[in-house]
Amino acid sequence: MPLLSCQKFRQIVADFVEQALSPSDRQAVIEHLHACSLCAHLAHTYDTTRQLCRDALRKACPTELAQRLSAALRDALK
Amino acid sequence: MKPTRSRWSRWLGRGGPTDLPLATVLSPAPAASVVVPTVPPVDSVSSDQGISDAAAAARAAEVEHFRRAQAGDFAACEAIVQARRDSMYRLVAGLLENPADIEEVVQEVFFSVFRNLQQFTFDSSPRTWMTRIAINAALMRRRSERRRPLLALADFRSGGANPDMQAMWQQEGSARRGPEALVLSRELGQASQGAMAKLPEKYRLVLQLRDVEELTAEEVAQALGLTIPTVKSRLHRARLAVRHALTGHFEQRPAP
Repeated sequence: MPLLSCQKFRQIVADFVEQALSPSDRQAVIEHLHACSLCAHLAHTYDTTRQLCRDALRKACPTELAQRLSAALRDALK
Repeated sequence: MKPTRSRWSRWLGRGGPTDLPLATVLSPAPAASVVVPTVPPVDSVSSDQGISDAAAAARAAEVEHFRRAQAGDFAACEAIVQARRDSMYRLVAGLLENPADIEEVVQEVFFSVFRNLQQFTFDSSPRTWMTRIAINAALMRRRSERRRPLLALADFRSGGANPDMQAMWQQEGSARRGPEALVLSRELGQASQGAMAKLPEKYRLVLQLRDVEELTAEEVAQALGLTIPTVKSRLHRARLAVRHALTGHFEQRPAP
């Protein structure tokens, strides 16, 4: 299996954290990350950033609004 | 190779968020009161993976609910509201500031969906169609309203989402520092929110649709009228920009 370069890893870091790589590519990435702390740090912080963004933006519809929404739609649709 | 701050800075300077262009915001919604868009087909460069099993199951359920709703099943309509109201709320709230406007537009979105159910032909996913409706409705409502600068702060879970990364950190124990070693504090949460708020809207919206609402890259492309490579590029730049803003908050891990 060819060694993965740091440059190539930077191009596919998004696919790696999204688990969109083929099994062989994924394995190559994992081996590279064990050998390269710089890319491992990139992968780690990139993945963590993705999670932070997800958590920061995830917000439920307020209960009161959800209730009014259901009531309004019930009235309109029945 | 020990990562140093200067090395990170050089890398970021070459290909990272410092190259982020000053973006124009989303194209304004059409002036006409067209609320229900047609979703153009996308030339699929590559279908996107990376959605969770739960998201895949939710998609299947949505399709079923839409079919039943088209047949007049009121319970299916309620199920659609229940399943998608959080997503529609987040989307609209990200584009509008006034709570009253947000509520009205969220209601408009669902009314539009049910008024036009029979027009939906399953050429796209239901959530793509609804996303387009919500964006159009919110942009028409916004007009002169300024974009909301910040969303409310949420509590943050520690660590990233990729199981490969989690496994790697766990396997290596103290030799490498895992997600738990990152400073995932309230300060970090505020910093990440601040960074996202500073993103040009076209980047933030892609990030929201892809990472929060779990639309596939193809669905995001359909919803926003973009190509899949553009979606991926904007998403990557958005994540790098936020990551760059958080650089000082991430602890430097030691050399192995």
